[in-house]
Amino acid sequence: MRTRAFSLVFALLLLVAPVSAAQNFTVDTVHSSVVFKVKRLGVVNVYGRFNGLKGSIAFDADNPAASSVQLELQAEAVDTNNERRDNHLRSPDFFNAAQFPVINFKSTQVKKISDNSYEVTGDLSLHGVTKSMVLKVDNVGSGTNPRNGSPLIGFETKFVLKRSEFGMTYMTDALSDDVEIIIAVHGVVPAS
Amino acid sequence: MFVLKVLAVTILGPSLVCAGLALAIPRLVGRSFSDVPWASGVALAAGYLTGHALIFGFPSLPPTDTVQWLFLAVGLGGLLLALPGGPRWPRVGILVVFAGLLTVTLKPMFEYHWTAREGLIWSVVLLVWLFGLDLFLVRLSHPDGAGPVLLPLFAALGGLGAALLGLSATTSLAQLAGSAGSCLLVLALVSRLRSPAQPSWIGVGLTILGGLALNGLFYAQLSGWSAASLGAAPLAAALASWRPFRDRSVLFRVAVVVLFAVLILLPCLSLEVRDFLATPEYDPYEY
Repeated sequence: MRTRAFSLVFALLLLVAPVSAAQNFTVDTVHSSVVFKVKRLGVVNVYGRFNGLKGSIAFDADNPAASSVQLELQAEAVDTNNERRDNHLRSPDFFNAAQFPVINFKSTQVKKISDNSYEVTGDLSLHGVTKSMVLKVDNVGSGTNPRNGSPLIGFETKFVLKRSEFGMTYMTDALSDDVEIIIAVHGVVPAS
Repeated sequence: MFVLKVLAVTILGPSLVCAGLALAIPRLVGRSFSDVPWASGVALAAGYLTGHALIFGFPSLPPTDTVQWLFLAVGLGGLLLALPGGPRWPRVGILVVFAGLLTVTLKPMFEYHWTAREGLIWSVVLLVWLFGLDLFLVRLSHPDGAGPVLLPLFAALGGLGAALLGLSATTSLAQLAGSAGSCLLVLALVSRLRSPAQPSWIGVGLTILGGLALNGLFYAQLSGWSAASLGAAPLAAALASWRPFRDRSVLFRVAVVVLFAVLILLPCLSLEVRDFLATPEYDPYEY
């Protein structure tokens, strides 16, 4: 009798209590961007981008520590709107895309630092080197897809890395060691 | 200033180290340059390593990419040559270095681009070619045969290789080839002015130029034809032993051999220059 009553109360509690779990998003390649800039001869910033960002995000707004992100780029997808320069960037002088075709980032820890701002720690693998990075990531918006009502979410981060720390040491007197990177990620729930 | 700095790093630094060792080693052991079998190989290896260190810095341990592995292969090759041993040992050692070089250079191709069968064929063909070329050139290297023309020929191949690599979207490999070419030129001068070099430099030279050509072919935009021509061009050395030229002066034979090598490479060079200049005028890429 007592056991039955307890089970009933427990079941009612489960119905009433909010169920919080990470929501899984896929990176929308078309509406996500990876842009970088590097200083040339100490005089001007030259911009480029990587096309084709892929990945997944598991986001739990109520329990950010349960969130995770995994992003992946193809090194050969570098695009600076100049074919000769792009080929040079893909060569052993810089990204060495044939030897290190994939650039990826995998989070190891997510921490909330303020409303809509998170500190994401993770491993960035680039040019055969893996280093731990701490990124400040902003949740710039969330909503629903007007076509099908599925959830949408947006994140953005800006950070600087030293390319020499990833073994890209060539021409640091002509092109800066510091590379500033902006990543804007649009997360969607794929149609089932 | 920038150009001067590049020239100093690419040519002056490595040449000085190579020349310094080529002159100092015989002096230290109390013999002539041609009586110290390992002097030319060690001097060439040291010159190339200097160029690499000036351009890239020292490689990490373990190396993270194939050009860093080439640094180790050349260093190992130089060390093996310096070890005392009979006439067979350097050739066995050089075979080990070639096999090791191919293993580490082709590893990313096995990992991302080739099937096992493709990789095996490439590995066997390249190893046989490199080692066969080494045996062929060592055989020709007798001072009364093609010996005096080999170093100038390889110096020219270093320069031409640098030009081809520079046109293949990689200036770093071009700089390394330029470093090697300048060291080979220094050795050619020392050979001419002092006494002929022993052929220990041949295995090291093939490791360097072969390694750079393979990196250009598989990881930059060096065309297959250019790489094959660079691989075939050393065969021009055989002309120096050809009867019509055998009794001519050293300078004449050098000119003939280098000219023939240039003729082998000229079609590829012309095509690469044509493609390079075909870029529209509004697209002046300069890193």
